[in-house]
Amino acid sequence: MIDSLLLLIGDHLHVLMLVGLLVTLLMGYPVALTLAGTALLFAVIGMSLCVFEPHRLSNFPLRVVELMNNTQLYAIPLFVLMGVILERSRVAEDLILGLGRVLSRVRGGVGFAIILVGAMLAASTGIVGATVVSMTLIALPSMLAQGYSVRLSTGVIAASGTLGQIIPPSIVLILLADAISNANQQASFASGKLADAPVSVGDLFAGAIVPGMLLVGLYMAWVALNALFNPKACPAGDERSFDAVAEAASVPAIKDVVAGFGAWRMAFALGGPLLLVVAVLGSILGGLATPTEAASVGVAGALFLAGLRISFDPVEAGVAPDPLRRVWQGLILAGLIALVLACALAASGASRAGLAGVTIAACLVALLGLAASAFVLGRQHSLKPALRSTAEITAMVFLILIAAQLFSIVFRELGGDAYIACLLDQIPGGLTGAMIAVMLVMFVLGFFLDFIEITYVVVPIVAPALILMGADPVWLGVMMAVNLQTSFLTPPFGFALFYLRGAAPPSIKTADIWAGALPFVGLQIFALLLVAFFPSLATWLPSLAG
Amino acid sequence: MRLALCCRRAEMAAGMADWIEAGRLILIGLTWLSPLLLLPLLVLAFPRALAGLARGAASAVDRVSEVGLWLAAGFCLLMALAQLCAVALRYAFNETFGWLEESVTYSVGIGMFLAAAGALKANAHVRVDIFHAKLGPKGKALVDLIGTYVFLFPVFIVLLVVFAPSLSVSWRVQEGSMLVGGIPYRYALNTLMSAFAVMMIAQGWAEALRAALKLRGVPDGHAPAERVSV
Repeated sequence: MIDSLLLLIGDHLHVLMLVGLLVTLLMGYPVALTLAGTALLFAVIGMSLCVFEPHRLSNFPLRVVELMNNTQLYAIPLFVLMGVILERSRVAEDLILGLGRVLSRVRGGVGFAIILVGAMLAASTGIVGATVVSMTLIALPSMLAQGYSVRLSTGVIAASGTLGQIIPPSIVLILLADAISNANQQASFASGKLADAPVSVGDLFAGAIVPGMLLVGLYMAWVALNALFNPKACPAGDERSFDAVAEAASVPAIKDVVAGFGAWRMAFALGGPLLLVVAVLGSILGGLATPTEAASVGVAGALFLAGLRISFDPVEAGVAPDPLRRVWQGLILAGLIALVLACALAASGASRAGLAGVTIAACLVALLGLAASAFVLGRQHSLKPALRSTAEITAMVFLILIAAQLFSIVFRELGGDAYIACLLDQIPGGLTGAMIAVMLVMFVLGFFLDFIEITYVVVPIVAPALILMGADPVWLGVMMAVNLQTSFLTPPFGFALFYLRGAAPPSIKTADIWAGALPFVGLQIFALLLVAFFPSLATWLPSLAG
Repeated sequence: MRLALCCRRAEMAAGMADWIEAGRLILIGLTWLSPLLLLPLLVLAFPRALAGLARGAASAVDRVSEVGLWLAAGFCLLMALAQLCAVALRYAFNETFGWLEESVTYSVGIGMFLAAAGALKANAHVRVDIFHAKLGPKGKALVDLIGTYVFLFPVFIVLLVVFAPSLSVSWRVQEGSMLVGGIPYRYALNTLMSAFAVMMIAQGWAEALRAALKLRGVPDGHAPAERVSV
C-alpha cells in the first residue's frame, strides 16, 4: 500500500514540484532563491524515491557558466544602463511636458501625448515602473485639472507605461528570445530534422515592432473615440494651464524644467531620444549590429544626451555652479560631432582606406566627450546611483536566470517535460487548443510573478512542445510578450496598476484605476487575437530582415 | 626566469586545486552542523546575550557585500566601454581583439556574481508580495529566517560542493581562453562562482541574524532598503 503510494508520488513528482513552487513563492521570500530552493528540495525527495540521479546536479554550475558565455544576454545590463541614465537625465519629464503642452489644445490631446511619450520611453528607457510613476506624477494632475475623467487618465497612463515590455529594446523580449531559441533547438532535436535559422534577439525585436505599433494605434483610436463621442472625458485646454498644473505638481524639479522650456529645449527634448531610438533600433533591425553591440552604442548616446541636458541646463538649486561649464559643453559637443564623423567615415569605408588616422582621432575625441558627459553626470550625483541600480537590476535578473537553470534541470530529470508535452497534446484542438491553454496559464501567472520567472520557468517547459506542434518561434515569442503585457495591466493584480496606485494622490479611488484599465485590457486582448489570427503581423518584419 | 615563474604558477595552481578538493570534503561534512550557520537560531534563543555579536557580524558582512556591489557597478561601466570600443574597432577598422571581447565576458561575469549579495542586502530581488506586503515586520522576519535555512543555504552549499571538482580541474589545467588572443584567466573567473556562493551564504546569514533579532524584538540597527524595479 505504502509502496504503491510512494511509486505514485515518484511518478508525479514533477506536478507536485510545480504546485509546491506556487505555494512556496506565495511565502514572499525572494523569488530566485525560492525557485532554486524548491527545485533542490524536490531533487532530494526524488533522490530518496530513486527517481533523481544525484550526479545530474553537477550540470548546474556548467549551465551557469554557459549563461555567462551567452553574448545575447550581455544586452541586458547595457540596455538597463542606457535606460537608467536616460531616466536620471529626466527624459520622461521633458517629453511629457513638451508633447503635453503642444497637444493640450486638442480634445483628448494630453491622452495622445501620454501614449506617444509611453511609446517613446518604451523604446528608450524601457523601464515600466519608472515610466508609470513619472507620468502619474507629472501628467495625471494636469489631466485631472483640465477636466479629464479619472478613469480615462489612469487607464491611458497605465497602458502606455506597459508598452515598455513589448516595444523593443525590452528586457522581456531579450529573455524570451533566449528561452525560445533554446526551445527551438530542443524541438528540432526531438523531431530529428535540422534546425532552421536560430531565433535571435534581433528576430524577436523585429517581430514585436508591428504588434507594438498596432497597440499604440489601438490606444490612440480609443482616446480618439472618447474625444469624438464622450468629450466630457477629455476636454481641450490650453498650454498655459498645462504648465501651471505641471508646475504645481508634487515634483519640485519640474519647476526649472518648465521655466527653461523654449523652442530649442523642445526640439532637444523630442529630437534627442527620437534620434537615439532610431539609431539603436535601426541598426538592429537593419542587420547592421547585434542587439548587444547596438546597446553599447545606446549607452554612449544616452550619456551624451544626459551630458548635454545637464551642462546646458539652468543651474539647479543645491548644486554649486560649475566654473568649467563652458569646457564641458565644448567637450561634449565636440565629442558628439566626432562621433557622427567617425560613423560617417566607418560607413563610407574611408576608415579602412586612407583616413584611418582621422577616424582614430575622431574616436578619441568622442571618447573624451563621453568622459566629459560622465563627469558632468557624476558632478550632479547621478552617475553612481545609476551604476548602482544597474548592478542591482542586473544581479536580480541574472540570479533568477541562475535559479531557473537548477529548476529546469530537476524538472526535466523528474520527467516534467515529457508530461507537459503529453498534456498539451491531449488538449483538443491541436495547436490552437494548446496555445489557448498556455496563454491562459501565463496570463494568470503574470498576476503574481515577474516576467523573468515566467519566461524562464514556463517557456522552457511549454515552448518545445508548441514548436513541435507547428508554432512559429517568433510568433510564439511575440504572443507571449503581448500576453504578459496584458496580464501586467489587468486588475486587480497588474504590476502597472500597483505602480500607478503608489504614485497617484490618495483622492483617486483604486476602483477607478481598475475600471480605467479595463478598456485597455480589452484592446490588448483584441490585439492578441489579431496577432493570433494573422501571424504575419509578427513574422513579416523578421522575414524581411533575415 | 620566465620559465621558473611559469612553473611556480603551475605549482601554485595545482596546490590550489588540492586545496579546493579538500575544502569540498570538509564542506560536505561540516556545513549542516556548522555552529556559525546556526548562529541566527542561537540568537533566537538568547537574543539579549548575542545581540551585539549578531549586529557586528551582520554589518561586517554587509560591508563586504557592499564592496562587491560597487565593484560590479564599476564593471558595468567598464563593460559598456569595452563593448563600445569593440564595436568601433570592428566597424571602422575591421579589427577584432580576443581580449577586448573577453573583457566584456569577464565584466558580465564579475557583475553577475559579485552584485548578487549586495542586491540581497538592498532587498532588490523580487518577491511575490501578495501576502508578504500584508505581513508585519515580525512576519517578514520569519519569512526571511525560514527562507534562508530552507532555500538559500542548501542551494549555495550544493552549488559550492557540486562545482568544486570542475573548479579544481580548471585550476589544475589553468583553464585559459577559447578565443585567439583572449584573456588566459578563465580559472580565476570560474572561482568567482564559488565566491558568489560564499557571498550569498554570508549575506543570507547576515539577513537571518537581523531577522532573528527582529523576531525577538531587539533593534537590529539596520534601515530598511527601498526596492528597485525594472
